[in-house]
Amino acid sequence: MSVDFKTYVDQACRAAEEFVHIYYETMDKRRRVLPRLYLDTATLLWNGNVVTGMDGITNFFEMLPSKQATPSQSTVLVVTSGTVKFDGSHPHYYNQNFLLTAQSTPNQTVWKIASDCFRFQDWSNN
Amino acid sequence: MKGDEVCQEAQDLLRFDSDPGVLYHATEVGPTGRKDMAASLQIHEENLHKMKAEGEMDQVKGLESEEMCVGTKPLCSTMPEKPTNMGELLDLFPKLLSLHAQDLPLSVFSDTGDDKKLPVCEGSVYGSETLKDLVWKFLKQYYSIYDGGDRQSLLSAYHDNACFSLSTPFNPEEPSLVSWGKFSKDSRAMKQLKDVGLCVQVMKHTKREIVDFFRVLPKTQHDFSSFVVDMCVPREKMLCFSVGGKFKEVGGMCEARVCTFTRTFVLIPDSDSSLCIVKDQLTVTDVNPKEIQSTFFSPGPCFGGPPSQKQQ
Repeated sequence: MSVDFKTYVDQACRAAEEFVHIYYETMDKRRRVLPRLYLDTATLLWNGNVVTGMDGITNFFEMLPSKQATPSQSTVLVVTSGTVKFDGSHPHYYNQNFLLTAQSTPNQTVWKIASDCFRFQDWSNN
Repeated sequence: MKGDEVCQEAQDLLRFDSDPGVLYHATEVGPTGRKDMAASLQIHEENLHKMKAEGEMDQVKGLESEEMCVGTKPLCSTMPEKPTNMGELLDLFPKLLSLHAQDLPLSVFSDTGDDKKLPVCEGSVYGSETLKDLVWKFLKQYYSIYDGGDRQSLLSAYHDNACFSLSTPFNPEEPSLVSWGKFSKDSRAMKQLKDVGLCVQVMKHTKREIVDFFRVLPKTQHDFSSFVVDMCVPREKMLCFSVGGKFKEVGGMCEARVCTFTRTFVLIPDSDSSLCIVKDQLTVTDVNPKEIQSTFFSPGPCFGGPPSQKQQ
């Protein structure tokens, strides 16, 4: 059965909007549960630091300072950018992209992060 | 509810361990109807210890309440001394945001306090030398055409059903910095799109549509020495990576403007096993010329190998 392109785009847009809201809300207010959004085999890249596996990702988010940020298997690419300020650091522009993958069970479809890539965009500071 | 009734009800909830459906239903409250929101839960502190002793904590975990009142008396109206079992409470109720009707400070959610520092920023991440060579071969070929003038030749780089989207964040307070703002009608930055239906219209779909759009974008000169690559999915059969850096707009009437960009590519093998682009997402921001001009790579062909690993 073929599904037309518009349907795929609609699905991806809805998934992206919902995901972005959940991810940053969780990151800002409930960071302890953030690792639950990731696959056990997910990879996280954070400004060139490579983190793999659930234990690694859990430890990584625990040691990161708190922050405030102003945004069969299907995959969705979500790209975000904005500004972020971590405690003890000046504000940075950042870019972040996620590859989300859908895990379907008979009752529901759950989206999980397969890869998360975060990078400050401070080119003028070279 | 009076305190004793609340506590009894809480204990009754815990006894429905043979019927998870009932417990699930009891937590399905909240203005959004989300199943993971619970009404405020009031538990005697002594019952908390009792529940822990009797191994009932796993059931309590499932309730995921956001508000809680724990104390030696029910319905405490004043904030008691800070519970020594705050860490235990947060382990059980990770979504807890307020205690005794007072919001918990964000620092409570950090295990340590003031000694947290950001990790040191590192350079590009490739995954392996083979992938590094592959990515740089691609980037050199791609930008020699993209900057070289005739973008029509990029048709062969894209899958027939490839998608491309452009985001140009627009700051209305500094309109003079936005030269790419004229493409804002083509921008797919979703927070700026009033109508989600436009998501379909402004996405460029098929290689023909993509390359036609490239021909109206400004001519550019990319600074290879500024490139930072992040290999998001390190597999040779499906490459997904981001490249960020600087480029100049060239060939226009005005003084060359320097922009920063981040571009995410997803490549898969084509019918003849060579890699082709199936997803391409470009974010362009203008940079204050005074800040960036002096740091830009000196004029001349911007080809060559990857920059030396350095901190960004």
